[in-house]
Amino acid sequence: MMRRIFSGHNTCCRKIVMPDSSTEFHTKRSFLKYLMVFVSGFIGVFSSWGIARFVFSGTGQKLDRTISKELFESINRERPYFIPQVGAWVVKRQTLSESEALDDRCTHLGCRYKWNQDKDLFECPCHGSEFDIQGQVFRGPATRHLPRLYLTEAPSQMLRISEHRPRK
Amino acid sequence: MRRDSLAAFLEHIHPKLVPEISTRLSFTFCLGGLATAMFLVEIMTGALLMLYYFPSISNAYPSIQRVMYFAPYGFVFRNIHYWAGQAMVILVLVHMVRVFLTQSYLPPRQLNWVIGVILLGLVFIEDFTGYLLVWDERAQWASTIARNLTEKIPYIGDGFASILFGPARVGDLCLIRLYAWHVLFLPAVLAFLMSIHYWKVRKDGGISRPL
Repeated sequence: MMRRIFSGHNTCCRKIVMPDSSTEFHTKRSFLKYLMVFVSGFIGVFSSWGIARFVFSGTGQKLDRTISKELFESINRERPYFIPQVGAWVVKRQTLSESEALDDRCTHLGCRYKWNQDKDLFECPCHGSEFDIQGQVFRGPATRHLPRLYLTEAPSQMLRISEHRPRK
Repeated sequence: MRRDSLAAFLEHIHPKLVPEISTRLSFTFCLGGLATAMFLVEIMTGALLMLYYFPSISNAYPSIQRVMYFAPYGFVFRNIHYWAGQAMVILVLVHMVRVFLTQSYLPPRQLNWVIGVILLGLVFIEDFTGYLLVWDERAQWASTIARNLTEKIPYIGDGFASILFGPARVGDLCLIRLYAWHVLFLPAVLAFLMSIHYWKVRKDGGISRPL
């Protein structure tokens, strides 16, 4: 039986006749082949995991963001409070269901807006859009209101910030 | 028979024998191949983004925000899609400059040069339609400007603008039209012309020699 192996050089290839044997030896090329298979497999598995998570989380709880109840309790009422970990401004009201949250990105071109206490408005530093405390457009160039988020109870003393309105 | 056809096709795409000189990286810098690789990346990440994108005036931008800030790894796929698109435009442009400087547009490759120029134009349009799909303020104005410019083309302008942007000025029909161009028609035409482009490269005697 014949086996064909290649030398390490790109430019030449030789046919070497070898006895059929159980003797295994690795050339530079076969080592690189195994290495490539291993690296590609690793990248493949890693990316498949990300793709699977992206594909299978189109709906449901995985879209939500959570904060601790303790943090929520510490917030002053009727004053917007920014929580960078979840990318949202939270406005605490009398009850949890009345409280609301707003996505922290301007609807104009996606900059992070800030709360201006003197004007009682959210101001976008990029192009000057202004929104009221409920996220309604006060001044352009933005034309869309800020995306409203809802706060609901979650397990383990947590609160979920979700874009879905809670069911009553 | 089918197996033989497949083998023959692969043989054309990746022949066993190539001129030794063309194996040098500096020969073509793999610009055409890299542009094709970017096209494949665009198709894969674009297919994923289609799962979340909502082509309507009121939902397009929020759906992109959902991808960026809510969907797991959504920002990764969108950024790969965005940057691979930009890279594709640059690679195709530099590829054309390389072909021009090495005079590879001369016979017998003149037809392939024309196909390449058409491909460049289509890549620009593909990139531009993707830019509009975000449907933020910038995209709305860009689509208005692009439509007005298209309408200025003598004789065919109005009809051409209707084909590209749909009957409505700025609205859902315009966005759906742009979406269809971006995800279906333009990629299909690009893939078809790229196949001919590659086939012609082999047919015209392999990748072009340097000066």
